[in-house]
Amino acid sequence: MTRAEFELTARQLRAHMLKIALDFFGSKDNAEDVAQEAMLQLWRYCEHIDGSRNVSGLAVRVAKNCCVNHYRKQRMDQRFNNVDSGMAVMVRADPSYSPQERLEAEDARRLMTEVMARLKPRERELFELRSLDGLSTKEIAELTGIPKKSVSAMVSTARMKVFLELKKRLRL
Amino acid sequence: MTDKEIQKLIDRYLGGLTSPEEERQLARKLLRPDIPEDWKAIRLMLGDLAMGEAEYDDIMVHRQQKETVVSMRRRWMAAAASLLLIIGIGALIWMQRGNETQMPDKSLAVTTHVDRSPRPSYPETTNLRTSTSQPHASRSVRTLRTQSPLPTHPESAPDGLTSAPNEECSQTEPVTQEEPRLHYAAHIQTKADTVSYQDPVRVDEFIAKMADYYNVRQGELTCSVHADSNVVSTVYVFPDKQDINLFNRLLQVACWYSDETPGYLLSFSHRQFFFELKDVRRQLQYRWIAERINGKILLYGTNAPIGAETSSACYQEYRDELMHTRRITPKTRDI
Repeated sequence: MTRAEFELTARQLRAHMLKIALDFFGSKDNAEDVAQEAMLQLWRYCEHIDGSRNVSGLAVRVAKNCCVNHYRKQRMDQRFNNVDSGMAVMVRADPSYSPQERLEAEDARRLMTEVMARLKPRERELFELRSLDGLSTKEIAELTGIPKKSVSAMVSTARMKVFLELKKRLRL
Repeated sequence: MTDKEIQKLIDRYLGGLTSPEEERQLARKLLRPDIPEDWKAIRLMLGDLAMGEAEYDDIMVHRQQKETVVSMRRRWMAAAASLLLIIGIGALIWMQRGNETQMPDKSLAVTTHVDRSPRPSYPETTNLRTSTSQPHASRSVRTLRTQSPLPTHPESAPDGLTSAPNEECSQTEPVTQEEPRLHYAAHIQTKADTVSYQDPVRVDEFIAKMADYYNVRQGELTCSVHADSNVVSTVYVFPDKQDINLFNRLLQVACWYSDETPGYLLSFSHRQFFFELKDVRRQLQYRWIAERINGKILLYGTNAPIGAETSSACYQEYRDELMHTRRITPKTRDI
């Protein structure tokens, strides 16, 4: 998707993202911050996808993720503000916010990228249309021109491949 | 959702059969940290975006549930408060009704149809009897009640009759001629009357109601010097109790009447109450005497044609009997 194509739909998407953030935070200031961040992230995703794709579903997901991240950050700040220096060390040692967790998340993303690379292009496209864009089988069928049953079958094949590869790599 | 149900959902997910909504639901179920190892792979497959969205949805659902609980709690509290309010109001009304039945003067103020004495009918009196303007009547009585003086006056001589008709009732809100239906003993004026007419028989009605409520029997006395059936004398012996508060109520009744009423004479002390009125229309004179004796209140009332010779000897006898002093003070029989 080119920048020009993105900007065409940006205003509408931003309004939608702002509403999601407003519902979550209830404050316009927070919502504006989140909407701005969500637009930036969405653009990062859109840079790598086909311009013909409907990104409204993706925009919703991105906005919700930004809300959660912003919320976590606020809670983190609040904890640091509320505790003394001794407690702050304990809070920083909380595994849910540890660098180790962030490293693990990075590893997981890298692992997924490697596994996804093993899929056929069509399988990968359908997999992402479901997991990233959040489209239904019917919508994918309409978008790609592939019959619904075939979409389901292809998505299933892709998912089983990824699942088995992940189990193998993770030694589960 | 049980683990078995989650596993079924995972199987559908791997089979490519789940809807986006079911996948969001699955992501929410996999948010918890203590999931089976196999499911961790599914969590990776769903991806960061789906898991972040699931967290968003989860937070929102929890907030809504919390709000619902709070709202339910508030509703329950509101309902409980309303119920308490209703019970409170009900209890208040019930208590007020109880008080009303304990205080005949209030009910008399609105039920003006009780009239046992034969009398000529006056158009104005008829109007008074048929009127049932209750809210006005209640207001009038309330005003009277709050403004009327207390019957107990420690500064007055305990045994002497203190005459203070004007001062004691002067604070009573006068019932205006424009609103003749407001007051139990309202002023009704005809062309023949020089002052507003107030029917004295209402004092007797009040006393009869009090006696009826407190189950006090009416006794009849013969107080005429010569045998005269036109002289009617009654006597009651009330218990001297705070809840009956007879002296106070008698004083309030006396205050219904304007001190310009013919024959108006009000004297009272802590121990005695004396009230006289004249009914110039029917040419009758009325007298009421109440006295505290040995934990009782002796209430004597008489009415006789104006000018008729009456004696209070009968009352004195009754009184002496009550005080057990008849033999000791046989001479003090006349007031």
